[in-house]
Amino acid sequence: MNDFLQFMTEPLALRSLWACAVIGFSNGFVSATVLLRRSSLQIGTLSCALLPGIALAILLFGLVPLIILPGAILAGLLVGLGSLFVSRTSRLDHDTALSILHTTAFALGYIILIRIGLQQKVDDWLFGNITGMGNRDLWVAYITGAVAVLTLTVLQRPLLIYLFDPRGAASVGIPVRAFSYGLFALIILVLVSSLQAVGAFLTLGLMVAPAATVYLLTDRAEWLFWGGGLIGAGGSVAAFCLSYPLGWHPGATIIVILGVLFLLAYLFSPKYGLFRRR
Amino acid sequence: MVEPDHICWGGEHRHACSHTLDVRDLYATYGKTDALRGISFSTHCGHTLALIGPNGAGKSTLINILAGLIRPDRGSVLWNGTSPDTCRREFAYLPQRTEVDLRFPLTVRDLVSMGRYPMLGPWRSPGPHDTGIVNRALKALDLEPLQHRQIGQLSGGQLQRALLARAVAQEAHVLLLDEPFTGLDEPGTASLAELLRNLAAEGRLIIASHHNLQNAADIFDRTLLLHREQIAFGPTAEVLCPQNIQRAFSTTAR
Repeated sequence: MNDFLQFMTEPLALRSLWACAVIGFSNGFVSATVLLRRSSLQIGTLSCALLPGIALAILLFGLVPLIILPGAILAGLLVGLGSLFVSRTSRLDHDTALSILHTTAFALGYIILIRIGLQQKVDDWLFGNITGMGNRDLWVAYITGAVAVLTLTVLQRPLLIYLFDPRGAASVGIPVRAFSYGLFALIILVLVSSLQAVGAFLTLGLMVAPAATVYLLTDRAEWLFWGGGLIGAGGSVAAFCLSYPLGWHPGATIIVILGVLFLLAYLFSPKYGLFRRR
Repeated sequence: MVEPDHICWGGEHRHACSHTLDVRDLYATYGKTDALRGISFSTHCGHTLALIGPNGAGKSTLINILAGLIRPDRGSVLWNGTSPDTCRREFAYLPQRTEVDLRFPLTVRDLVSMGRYPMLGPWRSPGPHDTGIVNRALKALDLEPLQHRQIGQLSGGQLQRALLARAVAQEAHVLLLDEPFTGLDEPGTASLAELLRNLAAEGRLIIASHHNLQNAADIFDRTLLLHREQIAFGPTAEVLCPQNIQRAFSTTAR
């Protein structure tokens, strides 16, 4: 216990705790839009598709922290729009095209990362390395988190109308195309900022589970955002504190804790739980 | 007799029963095919207008143009002599019930309150005036006891009433409905028909795509029969004569 308390007072641990809180909150907040758009699976494939963009950016420009952001966004866009293009110009449906493109992109990214001699970093990209986050990474997480939360809060009213009824929204003058692209960009931005904490494989959990948990507890769309943020932040901080004494991988522990919270809501939600009082 | 500004509860706009919708020589393409060729008609508030034609006749395209969702290639839509783009809030588009995401975390009251968006914009918080109008809309469509229900817990008819209440709260003058009678049983059809007639009698213009030739005359007093081009427009009983129906629904119609 003393070990643990001592560890927690170290700057490294404090910084990681902050990272957990900030990344957990912004991911949880954004997860509301992922849930309401019903695009969880697409986001999942997207998070893996970011890898080659990151690898390519590192290959071209070296390991500069900020350079991975444009690379990741570019890869996400290429795979996202490319799959749309393939499905429109062939007899394949969108999901099939997306599955092929994202696994190909992922494999390519893996090869590049190994070839440029970053074997030991591959684990970090796939599963995250929250204690390895530097001050600059933390700032990137702060800023993307702030941008995401602010944008979604300021535009919440038209955003909800757009998500619920895109055509009705367009008919009262809401710029639905801008909303659609903007949301896509925002989701990629937050994905990338959380990549270092939980990695490409696990980030989907952080991006979906918080709002899904709140969704089982309430009928109010606004609560998905703040509730998702609180669950994301609380779950991540708690998981980080647990991971040290248990000796578990911190990123994986975050996802497990969020999964457990979801399971609890699934089973015991007073309104929609499996064991609700009828 | 309908009061002059009956449907504009906000009072920001004097309503005249003679508000007219003029559609002049409308052409539109959808993908590579002509969706509409030379549609022209004129009608005004107080009417219920059915758009009737076979699948792919351009009914949805016309509704989308009136809702401002797509641009016509040629021709014009005039609302009281001006472009509807200057008064989008006077047009309400109602999605088909089957397109509504029933699991969306939204109560009936939240849904109806969305109708206030054109007046409030993204940031202004609703005042007592808006709350009052939402309350009246809920009351007018008999939704008060259901207002705190999540929309997935409504029957098809109740959901349709909630969508209509949103349009009423928007103080819309023109209600554009996509196949509202699809999937309703006979009592549901009768009660929705009565609702639409009442909403029109209060001074609104109801425009709906429709496919049932048998009950069209009971529900709508005006009909536009089309198959890409306009077959006929006028009182429903006159438009739906056997010759016109033959022309619209025969496979040779271009």
